Amino acid sequence: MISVSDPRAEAPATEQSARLRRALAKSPPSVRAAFAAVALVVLVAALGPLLTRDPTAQDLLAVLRPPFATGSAGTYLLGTDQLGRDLLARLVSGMRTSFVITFSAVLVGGLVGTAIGLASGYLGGRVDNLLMRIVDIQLAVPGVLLVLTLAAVLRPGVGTTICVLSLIVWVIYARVARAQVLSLRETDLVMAARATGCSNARILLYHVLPNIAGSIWVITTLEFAHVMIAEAALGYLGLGVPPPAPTLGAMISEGQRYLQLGKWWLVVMPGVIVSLTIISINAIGNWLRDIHDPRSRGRPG
Amino acid sequence: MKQPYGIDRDEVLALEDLSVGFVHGGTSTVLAHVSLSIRRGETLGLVGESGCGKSTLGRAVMRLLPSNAAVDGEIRLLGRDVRAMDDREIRRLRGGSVAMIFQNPMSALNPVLTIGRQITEALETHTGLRGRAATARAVELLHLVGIGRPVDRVHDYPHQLSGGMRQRAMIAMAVSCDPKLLIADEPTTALDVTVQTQILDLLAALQEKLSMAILFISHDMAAVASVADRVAVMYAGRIVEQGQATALLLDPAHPYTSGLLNSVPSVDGAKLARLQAIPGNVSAGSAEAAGCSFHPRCRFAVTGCDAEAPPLADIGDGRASRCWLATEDWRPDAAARGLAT
Repeated sequence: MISVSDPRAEAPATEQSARLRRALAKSPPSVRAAFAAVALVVLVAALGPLLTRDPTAQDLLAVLRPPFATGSAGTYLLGTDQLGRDLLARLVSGMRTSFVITFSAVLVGGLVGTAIGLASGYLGGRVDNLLMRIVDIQLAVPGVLLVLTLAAVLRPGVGTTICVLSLIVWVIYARVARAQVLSLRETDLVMAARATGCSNARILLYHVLPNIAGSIWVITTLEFAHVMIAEAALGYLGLGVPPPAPTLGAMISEGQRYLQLGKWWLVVMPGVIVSLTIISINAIGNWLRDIHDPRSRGRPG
Repeated sequence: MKQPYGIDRDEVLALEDLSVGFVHGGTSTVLAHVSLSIRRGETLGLVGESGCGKSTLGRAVMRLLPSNAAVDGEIRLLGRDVRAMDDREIRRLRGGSVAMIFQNPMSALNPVLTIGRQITEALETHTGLRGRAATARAVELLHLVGIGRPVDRVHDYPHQLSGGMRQRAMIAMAVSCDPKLLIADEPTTALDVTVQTQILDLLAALQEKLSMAILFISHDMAAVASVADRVAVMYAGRIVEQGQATALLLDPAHPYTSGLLNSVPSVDGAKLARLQAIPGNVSAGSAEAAGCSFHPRCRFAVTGCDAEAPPLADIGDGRASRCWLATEDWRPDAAARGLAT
């Protein structure tokens, strides 16, 4: 036997991140723009509330002012709403609330759904039957109706909104994960892993999960957008986080009444933020799926 | 039939009266009363056409059959009853003392993990090796199976390797934990001929180095001829002939073996004659049918062949043939010449 020391073997984790960096360097401008947009939006949502005014402070002498108007508290960069509250401050604060809720709901729903889908597909039999019937029942009920009912019955708040929204997400993950596991389970890949002495947990974690990660990424980006809209819809219908705390959906809902009066900024500002974020996330999702599949990464000579 | 070896220290694998059926509605028998044994350092070639139960046999040994499989009989591995093992023991056995390589390495290797990672995974499961030590061992193993520049290759993904390289990597994984038995399920079928030879040579070299037994499952008579010490020929879930490889392949005693050998094309100038095919195909459920399971396709079939199944009869020189006509002297090839004239 020979012994060869391998400098690259020392840090497999850095190798992974280096690969991601290389892929990013080769990514098209649209993907980089999407990353920049998401980074900016997240940064603003995270740090913005520290820099802007109090989003609930009213300036009743300067209501419904357009962008760049001045009032008693100085210049309002994005104007003010019907109670003279600073739209920039409300937007930034609303972004934070909306993102926290969306991210948590997708995370919770995605983890739970994927785990259930993996177990269901791999174990099969009665477990599979039971879990998939639950999924069927839930899918048979319109998602929005379910969310609205629960949101109306439960005490409103951030936690409730997260729970309610994650409920519409997990079924999608469970379905997709299960379908993929069903086909993977019959492959030589899983047979070979079992022949190497892997436990079921190990097979699921190391052999099945990485092979379905591409689909999981794609539905994550789709669901992120989906949940973000659902969250905005809840806010719009007044069933989300209760006022006066701003959310993007609630802002659009309130601002809509003043559209006819020509006060466009109340709706356009939060609307643009929602659209921009969703488009960027979808672009990133597509790109992630492409680079995640090693077969599409090209063959080095 | 009892094993001629009995309890033997060199015995690696012994199957006694192994039957396997699959239950779906009814039961279809895939293996019927198979008995065989493999000794340390020995290569047993298991041949037969598609669907005769070769792969099922290999999987039964590692308990890799689907849950609707009904198994009966004894599987003894290194003196221990495989069927009585609990989950933990069977996992330690898989990839530990018994390893398996597959026909198509591209589908058996995980496409999203590097070759190195897949080898170190086997090492982590069965030996204490982790991290750098495991990677260093993976590099050694890649070198052992003849992969050039193993330090670089260890970071490659399966799709970045050629077919032969992938099979070598697969073999590296299989031998990583020093198995006592390697089950090679059609390991060369998906490869082109020159690469086949290299892989067969590699297996032979590794066997010598690691003194492991090999169960070589194949329908390729040439491949079997080049690696096997002994050969067992299967037909419809039964062993129809077994014996020393050279004797069996040069002088087949069972009509089915003879048919298989005659259907192999030869580059020998003298044999430009039309290839002889065995008429018909393995019919479903023929393992349970009355009489000899091969008799509908057998050109030597006589009255009585369809009434009772023949036993695997000893015909001397450690050979056995499951045929009513089998004696020490009767050979199908000679009998065929007799029929022709």
